[in-house]
Amino acid sequence: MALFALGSLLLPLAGCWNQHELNKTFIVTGIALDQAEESGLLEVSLQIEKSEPESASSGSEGGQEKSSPTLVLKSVKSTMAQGIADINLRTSREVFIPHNQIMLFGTALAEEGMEQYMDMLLRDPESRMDVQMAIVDGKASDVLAADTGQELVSGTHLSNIINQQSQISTQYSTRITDFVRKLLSGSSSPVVPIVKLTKENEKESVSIEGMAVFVKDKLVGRLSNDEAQSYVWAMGDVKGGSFTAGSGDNLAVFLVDSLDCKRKVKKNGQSVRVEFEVDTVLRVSQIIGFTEVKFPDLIQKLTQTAQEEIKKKVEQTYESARGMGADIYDLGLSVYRKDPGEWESMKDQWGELFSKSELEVSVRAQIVDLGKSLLTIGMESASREGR
Amino acid sequence: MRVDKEQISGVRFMFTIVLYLESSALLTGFLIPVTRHESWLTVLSGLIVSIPVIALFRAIMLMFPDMNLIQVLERVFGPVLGKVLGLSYIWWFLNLTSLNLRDLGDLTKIVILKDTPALVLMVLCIIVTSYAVRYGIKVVTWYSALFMTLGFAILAISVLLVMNQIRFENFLPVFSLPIKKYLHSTHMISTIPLGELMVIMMMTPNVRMSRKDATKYIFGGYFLGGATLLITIIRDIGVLGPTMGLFALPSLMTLRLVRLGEALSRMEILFAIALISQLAFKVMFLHYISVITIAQMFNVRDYKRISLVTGALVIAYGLTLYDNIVDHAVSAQVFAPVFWVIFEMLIPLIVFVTAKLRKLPEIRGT
Repeated sequence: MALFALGSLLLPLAGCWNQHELNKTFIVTGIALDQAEESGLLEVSLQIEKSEPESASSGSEGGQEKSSPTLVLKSVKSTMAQGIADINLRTSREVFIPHNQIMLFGTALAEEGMEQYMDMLLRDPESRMDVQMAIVDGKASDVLAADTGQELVSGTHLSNIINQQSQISTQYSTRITDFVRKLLSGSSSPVVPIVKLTKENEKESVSIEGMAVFVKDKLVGRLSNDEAQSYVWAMGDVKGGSFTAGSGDNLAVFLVDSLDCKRKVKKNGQSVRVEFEVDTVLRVSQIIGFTEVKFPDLIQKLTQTAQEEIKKKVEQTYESARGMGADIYDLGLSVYRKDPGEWESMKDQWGELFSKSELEVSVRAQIVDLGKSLLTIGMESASREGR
Repeated sequence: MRVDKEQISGVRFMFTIVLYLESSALLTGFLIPVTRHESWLTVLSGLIVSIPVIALFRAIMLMFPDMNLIQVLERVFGPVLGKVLGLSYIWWFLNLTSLNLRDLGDLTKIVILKDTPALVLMVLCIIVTSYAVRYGIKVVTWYSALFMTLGFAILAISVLLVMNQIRFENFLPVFSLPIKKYLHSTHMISTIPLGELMVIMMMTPNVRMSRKDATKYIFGGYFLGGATLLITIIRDIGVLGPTMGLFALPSLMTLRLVRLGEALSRMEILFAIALISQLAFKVMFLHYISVITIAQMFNVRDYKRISLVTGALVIAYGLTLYDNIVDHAVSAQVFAPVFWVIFEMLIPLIVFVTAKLRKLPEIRGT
């Protein structure tokens, strides 16, 4: 017992070196990296949640109003680590990174390559690998300074949006660990949500507008929201979301109960053939039109409409990815995992093989619920007139 | 002369073996640069390959049930060669203690106290372990059951909490590396930490158990402890995938990724405290082994007197062992697996063969 007491009392003493007093700490809730105006330099911005919203701070350079719950500290240096160290030197408190919610990168910076910024995030004992990443359409620091009106802190707001989307599919969010994992695969292309800041009538809002596509660590293109959705479908393990299918006057909105996709890669001589087998369970949320369809054929017609829509969307997104030369589907990785020997013979030409690959999509949809109504008003009217 | 006259039960002896291996789970990171995502295979093969080695330790313990390793060496090889070998074991045990103490300092610095000098952490740890060592084997192993259970609980809870992040694909492909890599990695795990279990031969006279119980407790402890090593590395590969090779402490990174909503996240500090406690137990146990080895060699009647001095030596040695964590990792991959074979396998094998040839009496189990 004495030993236990000695250990319990003595060992925590060493912690005195690492004391963090709350009133001497700036808790970071968001980090943004942008290309600085000066060539070759980096603008590091840290969003700090104020513990006392009205208090002024010695290090505030972000031009924040006093009433703002956050302040943005900035530094222009050649590296991220130097930038943070510089902010620490110039402020009255020490920045504390472990509670960071989001890591934002400006578009211009992402186009130059992101690998060097990953290193500090992986190396620093305080930074966490499960922090969400996002690319900002424009300047990343602007998002940190935004007042969205929904949450006090825009970093938390964004993180919440991405976390909510990741309930549908984990592919909607990219954590630092996910990005690094794709970089290390050698063939896969990371995909990161794009954040857009808009101002309307003095009101600011941030939203997710598609996904940024990388080849190695460089931003090469983007997927629209629709394309991002079909990318997520192709990756499988989807547990929600909705989409509209049909054409002209006949439209149906489907809720996705579950969606899975098996991806196969077959080498065919000097070319590659890719097969996506999508299997989904859907519920109907809304039907517009379809008045000419007879009730017994309704499910079949809706199923066919949904299948065609999914197929079309998946094919379009694949085409976009192929155009960018970005294997966002981990196809090369799946070849390596299945047959390392075959991958060895393909890996040097994988970019070219993927760009010239053929895709075959098969969709099997099952509609399990039409909701409370079996027919639309139009269908019911047509049915009565026919009678 | 027997240095420490106290005895512990066979069950507590088994808990000590389990905990020794459990607290070594952090060291599985050494394997990753060699066999990457297939390292779990080499942990498994290492566990199988090391069975004869553990059987060898058991056989020697049963041959000389009233003698610790230093006494056995003198009995088998005579006073001169026995003393020379005994001195080399003193160095090796001090080396092991220092390495683990340094690991404890590095781990604590990376996980919790990044600004605290490693020396302070090491000194505080040694003050506690010196205090325990003074009270003998009973006190040293007193908390083994508690910490072992804590270790199992941590492992089980952590596996459950990261279950949603374990990807089966991270284990593929299998058998994709040159055979040399598997052999290297298997050899590493066989020497660090499985072969290190030879330290139990210093405890022989301090354990109350029959011949039959010896098999049960030694192998029971070995397989339970080995299972924790295997499950730990499977968990880490499943969660971290190819990023595992980047980190000095992959297990810690896995625990940092635990996230079940806002409430169940950022809990690695709880796991880290438990892991540090386990490692502190290992240091305490090795400190005890070093002290009784020195006392046995130099006929020190009251081994308690040299507890603190040995601790000071361990700290000083630990600080000079290697310059940085990279040197430590390289040493664990290249130097240690080769050199440690001498202490863990070669000398025990020669002891066994020589004893058999000299027809040294097989004494009944205590």
